[in-house]
Amino acid sequence: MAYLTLRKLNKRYGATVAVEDIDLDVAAGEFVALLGPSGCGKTTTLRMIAGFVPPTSGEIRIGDADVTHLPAHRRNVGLVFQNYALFPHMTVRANIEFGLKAHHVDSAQTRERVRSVLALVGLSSQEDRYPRELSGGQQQRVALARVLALKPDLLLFDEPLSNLDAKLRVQMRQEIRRLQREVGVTALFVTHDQEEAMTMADRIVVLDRGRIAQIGSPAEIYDRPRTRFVANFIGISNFFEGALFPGSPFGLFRCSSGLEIAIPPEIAAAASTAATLAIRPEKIEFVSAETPGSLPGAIRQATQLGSTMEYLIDLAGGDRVIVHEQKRPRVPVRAAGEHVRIAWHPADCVFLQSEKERSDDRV
Amino acid sequence: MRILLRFLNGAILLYLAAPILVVVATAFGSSAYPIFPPQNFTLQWFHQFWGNPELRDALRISALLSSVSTILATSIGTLSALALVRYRLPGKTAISALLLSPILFPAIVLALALLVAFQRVGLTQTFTGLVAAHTLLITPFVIRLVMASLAEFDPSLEEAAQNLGATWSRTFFRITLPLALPGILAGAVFAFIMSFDELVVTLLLAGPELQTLPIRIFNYVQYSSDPSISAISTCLIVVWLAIGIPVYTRFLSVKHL
Amino acid sequence: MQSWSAKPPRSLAPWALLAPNLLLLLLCLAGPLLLLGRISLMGYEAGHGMIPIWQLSNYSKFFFDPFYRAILGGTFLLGAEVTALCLLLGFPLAFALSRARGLQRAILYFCILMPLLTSTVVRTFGWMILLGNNGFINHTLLRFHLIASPLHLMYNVTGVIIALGEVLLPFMVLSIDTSLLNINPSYYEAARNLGARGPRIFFRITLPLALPGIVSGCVLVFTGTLSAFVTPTLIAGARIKVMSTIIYQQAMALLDWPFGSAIAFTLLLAILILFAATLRFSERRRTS
Repeated sequence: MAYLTLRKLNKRYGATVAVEDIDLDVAAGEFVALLGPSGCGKTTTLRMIAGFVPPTSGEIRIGDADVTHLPAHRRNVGLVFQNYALFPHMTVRANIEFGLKAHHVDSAQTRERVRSVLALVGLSSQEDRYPRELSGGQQQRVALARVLALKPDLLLFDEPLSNLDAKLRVQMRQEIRRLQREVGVTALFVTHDQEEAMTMADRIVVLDRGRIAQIGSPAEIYDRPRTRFVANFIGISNFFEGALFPGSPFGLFRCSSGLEIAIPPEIAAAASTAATLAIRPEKIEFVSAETPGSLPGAIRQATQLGSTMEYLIDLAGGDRVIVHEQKRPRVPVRAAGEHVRIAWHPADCVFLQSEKERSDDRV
Repeated sequence: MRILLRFLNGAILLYLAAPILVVVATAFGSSAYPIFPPQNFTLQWFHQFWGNPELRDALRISALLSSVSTILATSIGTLSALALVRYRLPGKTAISALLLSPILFPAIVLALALLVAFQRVGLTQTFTGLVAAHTLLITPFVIRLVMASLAEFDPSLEEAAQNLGATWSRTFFRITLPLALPGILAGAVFAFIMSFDELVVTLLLAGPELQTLPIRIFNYVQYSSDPSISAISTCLIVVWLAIGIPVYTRFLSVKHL
Repeated sequence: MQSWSAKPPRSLAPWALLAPNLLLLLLCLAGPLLLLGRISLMGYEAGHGMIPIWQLSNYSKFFFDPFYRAILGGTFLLGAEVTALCLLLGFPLAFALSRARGLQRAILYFCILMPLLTSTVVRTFGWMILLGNNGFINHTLLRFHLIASPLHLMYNVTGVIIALGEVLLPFMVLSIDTSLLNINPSYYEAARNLGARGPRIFFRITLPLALPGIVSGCVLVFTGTLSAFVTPTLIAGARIKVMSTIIYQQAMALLDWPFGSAIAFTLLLAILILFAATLRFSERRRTS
């Protein structure tokens, strides 16, 4: 049973389309990330749910209530801002009390709730400080405590970790997830950082130019991207344009360069004839000459990525692929110019919806 | 509520504009006593003002005094602004507060202080004395506007010029000065307006030979109400708005326009 | 060692650039003010002029003579009244200005700058035309039979407040506008997200965050009123005396420079204390 429901949500500014036909169901207690590059409509979607941007059309439901036209202050949706928006002239306690007073919570209960949320975020000793006296991570916790004190129906995060340094960011990911689980609140988390989305979310919604490109678990999004955009925005991929070879019993894909690639039949059956094939760089291995179906090529460039090596390889047919190889004992680091053979497991190939199909159904 | 606020603000704006509107309106009315609303359109007061030797003389004195003071203040103020923006100085805040302080002092206090001091060295009732006083009063405006325009441009442009082999003087004349020029011009325009309108200090220091335009206007309106004063005021309003508004909007915190 | 730095020697260059200005300040500001302080302590005898002695009688005369004490009190009261008027009228206008965008803001801004760029003498002249017994306001009210006899608006405090308020209002508006624009819009959104509505947001967020601008606007208007000379002289004539007009009177008509200097020094001190207090206030807010 969906807790937050978006139906055909649209936002247009004059001729520009910011958000187009967003359909989304979020289950109670779920943690969903809205992922995409800047300008993809993720923040606009969030602000429509918070009530700061009126949708051009569509519906927003929380629980059983239609909140599409409810003013922001009556939604009971907690929003953690990118810059935290802690009131600079109020202490930590006054910041947390602000919302409780607006909701006419009595003073005994106000005291109790302030105490409990501060304990929850681990800032019990800081309640008389001003926001500017706190570190970035502490400010982040206060912003979270401030909305949690209101027992919100839904928690929204607008890139809340982007102002923190790298180490703290990783730590706060776990912290936010822990708090969300503890409170059991449903959460929507906007980010442009794929790693953040992958590590935190139960499900990821990838947005591209105002539309949903794919919804799925982190593993699905990574292993089974549906479009070239998703395959390239989350990690990187090698792409082969071509067509399914007709009449082949085991499934054969012929690239426009002439290269032929074996694919598992069940995938072949699902794919349309003209298509793009994607394969992740770390799914490709270096193999010996005897391996059947292996492809010959030459290393054009070798780059250190830290724990892995990245090789750019020119294949015989003129295609170019990227290969990632984990550095391990007794595995030699290869040099540019070396002749190699590569292969991958057919099941690791992914067929993508072609960009053309996508631009067609936009019209 | 919103309509009420709009109405209230309209009334406040009218209050702000009222004296200016009334001065401009009476400049074109035919009655000898400035009456608002004016009856019958006429340009005779502009002719009368132009034919009045006292007022024309005052205009000449004011123009000369303001021009000389502006040139001096712009040179002095630009150098100070450069020193404050481009160098590390011990006690910079105190120095800049000191340099800007003439704006803070009440004009009547400065006027009396300059009067007693200039009396001792024989500078009262002299053109030199007036130039010195005006330069003191208007230099802070130049400093503020030039500092604002210097702070706006990226110091790495100067570093880039030096990195490309330019000497200090070449960097200054080819990079710093051209980039600061809009600010310097704005400062000069503003300083000129301030000097031209200055009344209190000039009133105490100027003798009968050096009656500037504001002093003449001040004396006229105290004892008579001649619409030719409205005419000369209208000319001033129009000229000042034409040259002052661009400067203001460019530099004085006109955000979100 | 050959210096290959492109800048002239660090230590001397800025001082050389500052030298003309510092010389100007020394000769035309510091020197004259010191002299003013010295003269304020001298004696004066009609017909003989200044008597070079050290004494405080000029100050005691100003503070303890009921006539002058009334002027001191009156000047500060006038300052408070004009400040109250400007705050009352300035805040709604500044609020509208800070919310306006594009052409609307440009027009509003122009209306507020226009008075600032018009000389005080000219604007006060306009008020004389408006406020006189035969002026526009009385003329109109009489014509529509709203009053039986002309209101006395000139040559009294009411007229001075009306005119000075108009002269100083732009400073209040611009100062409040700046601080309103400095409020991050996300504070308003956060407040709404936490369930607050119009009045609560205004009193708990807008007003406290605009306080620095309100305070500095009030100080500008208050000190502006204390120093005002042209407007009180023209609107009130000899009827109403404020500190600046009696300084002028002592200096130019009575030629009692020592007493004039003592009043001038008191005025200067009052204004410097006000500015210092404001600076302390804004600094404390920034660091606390």
